[in-house]
Amino acid sequence: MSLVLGLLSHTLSRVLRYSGLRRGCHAPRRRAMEQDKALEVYDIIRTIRDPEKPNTLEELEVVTESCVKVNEIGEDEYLVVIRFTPTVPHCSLATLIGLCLRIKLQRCLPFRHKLEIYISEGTHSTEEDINKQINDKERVAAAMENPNLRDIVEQCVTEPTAFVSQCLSTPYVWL
Amino acid sequence: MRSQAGSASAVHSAVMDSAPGSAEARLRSGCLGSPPLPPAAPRRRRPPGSPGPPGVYMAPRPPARSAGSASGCGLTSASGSSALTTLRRPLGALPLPALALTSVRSDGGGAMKEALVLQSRVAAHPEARCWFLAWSPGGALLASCGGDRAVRIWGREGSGWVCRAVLADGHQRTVRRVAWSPCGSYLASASFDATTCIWKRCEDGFECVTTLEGHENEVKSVAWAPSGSLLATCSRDKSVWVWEVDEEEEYECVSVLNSHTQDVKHVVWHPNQELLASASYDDTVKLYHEEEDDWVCCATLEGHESTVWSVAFDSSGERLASCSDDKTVRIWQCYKPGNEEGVACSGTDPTWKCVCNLSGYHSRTIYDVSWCRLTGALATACGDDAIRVFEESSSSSPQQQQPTFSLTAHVPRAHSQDVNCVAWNPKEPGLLASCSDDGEIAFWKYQQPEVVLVQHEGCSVNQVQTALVQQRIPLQIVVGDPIESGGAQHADVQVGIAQPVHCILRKSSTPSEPTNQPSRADVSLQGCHRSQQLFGGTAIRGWHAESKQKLTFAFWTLPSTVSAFSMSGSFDTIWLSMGSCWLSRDR
Repeated sequence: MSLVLGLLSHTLSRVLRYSGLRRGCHAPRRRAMEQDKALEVYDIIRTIRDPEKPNTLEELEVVTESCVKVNEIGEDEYLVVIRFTPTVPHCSLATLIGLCLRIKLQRCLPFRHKLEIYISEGTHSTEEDINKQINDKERVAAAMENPNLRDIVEQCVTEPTAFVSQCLSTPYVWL
Repeated sequence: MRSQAGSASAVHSAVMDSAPGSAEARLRSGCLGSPPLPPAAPRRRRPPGSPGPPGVYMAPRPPARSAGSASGCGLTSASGSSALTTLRRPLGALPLPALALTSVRSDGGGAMKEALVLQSRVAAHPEARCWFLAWSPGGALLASCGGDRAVRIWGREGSGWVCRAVLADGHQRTVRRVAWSPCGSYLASASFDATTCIWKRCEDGFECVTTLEGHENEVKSVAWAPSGSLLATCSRDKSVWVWEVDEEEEYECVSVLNSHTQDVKHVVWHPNQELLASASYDDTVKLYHEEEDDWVCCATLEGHESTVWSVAFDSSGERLASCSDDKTVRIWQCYKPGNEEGVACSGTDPTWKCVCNLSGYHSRTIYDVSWCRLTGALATACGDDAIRVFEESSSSSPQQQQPTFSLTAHVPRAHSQDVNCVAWNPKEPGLLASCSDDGEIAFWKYQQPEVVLVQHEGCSVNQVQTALVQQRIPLQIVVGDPIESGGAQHADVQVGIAQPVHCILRKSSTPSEPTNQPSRADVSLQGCHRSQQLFGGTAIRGWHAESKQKLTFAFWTLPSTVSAFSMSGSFDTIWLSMGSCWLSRDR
């Protein structure tokens, strides 16, 4: 009986150690993947132009590298959370920036993802309202069918260089 | 996690932690006719991220027995409604050996996936989202609409589905919703171009007979009343419009309701009455009816913490399910004035109260909920690409009317993107259609859950335990405290079984067991017959498997339970868990 118990505990500790090792192995690799994906996302959004000014969001520090967080939520699926800082506390412009971010990523991000966009805390008076709007996909879809709004977004989102073709080849749903 | 059954989960963990391994040992020794089990696998099998019901303990499945079906402890499902019975057992009369049952189930995720099986997939709207699906009242046609501004009608051909008609040119922007009239001859489509088109069925397709205008922005939903003479639309302009249609196909707006403070997402009519429900971005659900020639808002259901995307009435119309961006589904119950539960009502209007909150199951926004009129199953479409089905198991305290819903099917990757809509076929039970942002429609077959397995460790009658058994059926076993009644003690046990079953009860012997009862054996119960409601018991006859000696298990029902469980027809084997085994004299 004691022999059996001894054997059992030995096997158990082996198993635990092995599983612990394996888990340890996975974590840093996953971290690295997530960081890579975050950089990919940032690369796409930093060139979006501000609706009012002729500068990009990166230049105006509306988005920074650290404002993009990526987490793996499933097999090959990632949750992308972006917190941007609007330039002015103007409701409509903040919503517009949020819209541009969503559209650009929807078109250009190559991997399966779920996207959440928020205004970074404390930078806007009506941030909860804006956050709710830009994360409501039905509202976003309806907004993009409004021709005026669509034109503005297209201007902000389309790159003036030859990289446009890269975006067009993505299989993702065009709104 | 679900708000319900908090204490049950505490009890469950106590059961789980005690005596690990002894259950397997017992299984190995006493298992009827099956060879010893493989070594114990991890005890808790549940797919990550899906909290299972409390009280479930899973052990590896023993190999299939000859008496059982091919799937081991699978069951053939006949049509049966999920019913809960309270069973009483006179303690004084019989001994109570402690039961140890094995739970037999392969893996949580696998079983739940098998409950909802994919039949076919169709690429419905190319390069665009598919927003909504609507079955025709006859169940033969499915209308879908999407971002490509067209409505498509799908019909069955062989084992697949083909597009029978494309209704294009009706709208300049995305078509958000479609709705069939109760007679099936008309189809209404609501679009982001602020109009609603009414299509009439003719010999070779559909033609647009009217366009309803008036909303200031996108029309989000349209619904026909059960009478067929009323139509409701709602829009981002925060209003709900009620239209009346007469025999000459003339539509007239009879009311504009501005009760909501934000965008109205969905409108749905009550299945029998002219009661309208609307779901809104302002986190509430509002109900409207006609009072003295005018439509008024008669109730506001608050409770959700974010946008309510969709609502669905059950088949009786007494209950309403609402799903929201806050990742929960809430079930609301209608209490009429003068109700027996003593819920206060103002005047002649019924009050609606939230009786159940399903939280912890969904990881993202829930876009749609659909309540099957035939089977009572609740399906949800979620932004995490999954489809889930819930079934109700009656409450353990009938006085409180607190239903609990258990997850009976979960397909984690039903589509490659957000699932926007789920719709049960109104005529074919178990047929579910779903559509997604990837433009695809999928057809699923839902099998009402079957086997139920739970294991208890030597519980005595004094313990209150809830075991929500789950492989496929919501079987709830609650062993109650002994109640003094007329000198004899009873143990209340509630068993809810959806399907007719063999019951295999394993019990361990106790010293006080009468000698004419089999001991240390698995007893299989067969030939259960329909039980009576209210008083009276159902004798479930069984026999000791080895000696074929007949035994009768009697179940009594309490008068206040919702309904008795009915068992009839042929059965397969299941393992039933109970805190105590009852053996009674033949009735």
